[in-house]
Amino acid sequence: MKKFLWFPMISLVFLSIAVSGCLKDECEAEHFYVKYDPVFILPANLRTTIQIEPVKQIEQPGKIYVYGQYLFVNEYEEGIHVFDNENPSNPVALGFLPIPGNIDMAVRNNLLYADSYVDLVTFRLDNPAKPEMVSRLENVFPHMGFDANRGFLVKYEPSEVVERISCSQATGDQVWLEGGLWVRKDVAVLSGSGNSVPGNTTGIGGSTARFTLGREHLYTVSETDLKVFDLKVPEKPNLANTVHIGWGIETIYPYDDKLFIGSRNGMFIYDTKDPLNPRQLANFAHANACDPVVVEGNYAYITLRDGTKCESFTNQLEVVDVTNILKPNLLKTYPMHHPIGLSIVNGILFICEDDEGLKVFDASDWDKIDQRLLDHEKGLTTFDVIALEKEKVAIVTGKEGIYQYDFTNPKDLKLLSKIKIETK
Amino acid sequence: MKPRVLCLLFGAILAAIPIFLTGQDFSEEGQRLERKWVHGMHFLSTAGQTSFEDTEIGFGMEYVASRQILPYLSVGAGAGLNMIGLVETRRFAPVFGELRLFPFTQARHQPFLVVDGGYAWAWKDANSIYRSVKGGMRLHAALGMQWQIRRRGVLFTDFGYIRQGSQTQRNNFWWWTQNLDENYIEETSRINRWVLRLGFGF
Repeated sequence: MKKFLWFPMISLVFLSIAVSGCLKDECEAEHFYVKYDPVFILPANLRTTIQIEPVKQIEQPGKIYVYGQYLFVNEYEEGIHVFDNENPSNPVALGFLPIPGNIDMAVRNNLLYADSYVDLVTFRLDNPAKPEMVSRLENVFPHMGFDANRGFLVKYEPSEVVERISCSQATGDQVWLEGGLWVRKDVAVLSGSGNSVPGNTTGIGGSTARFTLGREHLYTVSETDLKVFDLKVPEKPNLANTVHIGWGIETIYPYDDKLFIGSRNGMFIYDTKDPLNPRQLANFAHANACDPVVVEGNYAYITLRDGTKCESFTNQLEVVDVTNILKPNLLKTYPMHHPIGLSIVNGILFICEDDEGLKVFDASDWDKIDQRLLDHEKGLTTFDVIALEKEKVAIVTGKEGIYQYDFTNPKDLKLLSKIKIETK
Repeated sequence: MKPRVLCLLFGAILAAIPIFLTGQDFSEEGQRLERKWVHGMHFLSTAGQTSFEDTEIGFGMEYVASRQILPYLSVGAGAGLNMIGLVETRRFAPVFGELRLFPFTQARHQPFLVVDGGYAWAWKDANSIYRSVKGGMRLHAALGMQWQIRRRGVLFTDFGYIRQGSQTQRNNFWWWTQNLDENYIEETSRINRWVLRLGFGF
């Protein structure tokens, strides 16, 4: 019996190994990836005279900006929607200013300054319903490349690709990722807040703005640099200086004669007493994260959030004492859900908490902010907020719309209006 | 209906048939032909080539509960653990239904043909580099031999072919890759192996 059993067993084991080559795995592999195709624009197509167009739906809102009774809403890399917001309960669309590559803007003395890929364009707003283009300053912002035949490389357009590959192929084709090495970084869609600039003829941008205005100067930040534009001739800005700051620069926020510059690994404070030559006063370092900053009194408020683009796992609010501007001192950290843009007015702190909506805190005591939640607007996804002190109106950009709230009673925000967003 | 559900249903039906036929003896030819449950343990070895053309030897064990429902046919259901390879993507926990045909019903020792089919689950390690590891359909067919060694004891061996489905997703790493959700590779495999099983039943 034993012989009967073991002989065929051993034979079969060897046989199966010997003939194993006859049986091979069948394998199909698919490589799923996002392909980024370069998009070029010819200088001739970029540098045309821009004229206002009829009202169109907001599809991909970026930054917002308030100038007097007017509200400007960036359509990401496409232009600016202009609204008459005299009555926040009923904002009236006036038109759309098609500015290719536009992300940021700033307004003063009826002059709108806006980026258009590599150029800075200026519009006269004597009649905001019909802005008139008055100048274009060429090649002042960084670009990703220039091809003599195709023009400026302005962005990479993502498209989802499914590709059949061999299972023995270790990796698929090379891909470029948004937020990666070659793709333009910008947080325009992601955040904002009440950033007020001195002077009653100057507009108000958000906490994530990359443009801000000094007395006679426009300051802009790129990924690495602070640029100073001289506005002695307001209609014709002149690039006066470029100050290298470092990598990962995201936002700029003016307060008194200081510039608070948010980067992914810290906050820089620059002095603008010599406006053409900003001087670094301090660098407050924090963990890698996306970090809009606002300032009021002796305190700076910084939100840190996680996410692929932000290279972080942190979601928190930091309160920093800037009494000694040379030595910013972290006072307290509050854990948050996913804070993005923020704004502060007279100690009332507004924080966009992404899919948790808008939270309003009493920040009069920096040590008890978490205990003093005044109101929480739920059921909306929020990115950016500008709180207007005089009007007691908070303008919030969200996923589904641009909301305006009356915060006369900050414990009970009243929704005044909603400008609907038509998602593509 | 999903294939996995169909396979489980098939296995459950096969397992249920003997229950309905309990007590209906159909022959007096011998122990094997009585309507009784047979609990069988199988120890198996697999051999074949991966898609990289590397020879891969595996092993495993399976338990099958079967019942003779006709003189020439038994049905059952089983489960087990198959390490077709040593890595997580080649490790399966199958559940299957089985049919076993005996052409020579009068013999004490006799050959048989076994066919089973079902679904096998796979799972990934805690520190896996894979986004997901899934099993798939299992199909097994073999010719074997069974020896009656005691009144309620049998030894058996069979040699055949097993086909096992598998699906994995893994991130496609590049040093600058930040958002891995945007870049991954999905592999759908049909693992083909020779399989040799040794077992005993009681």
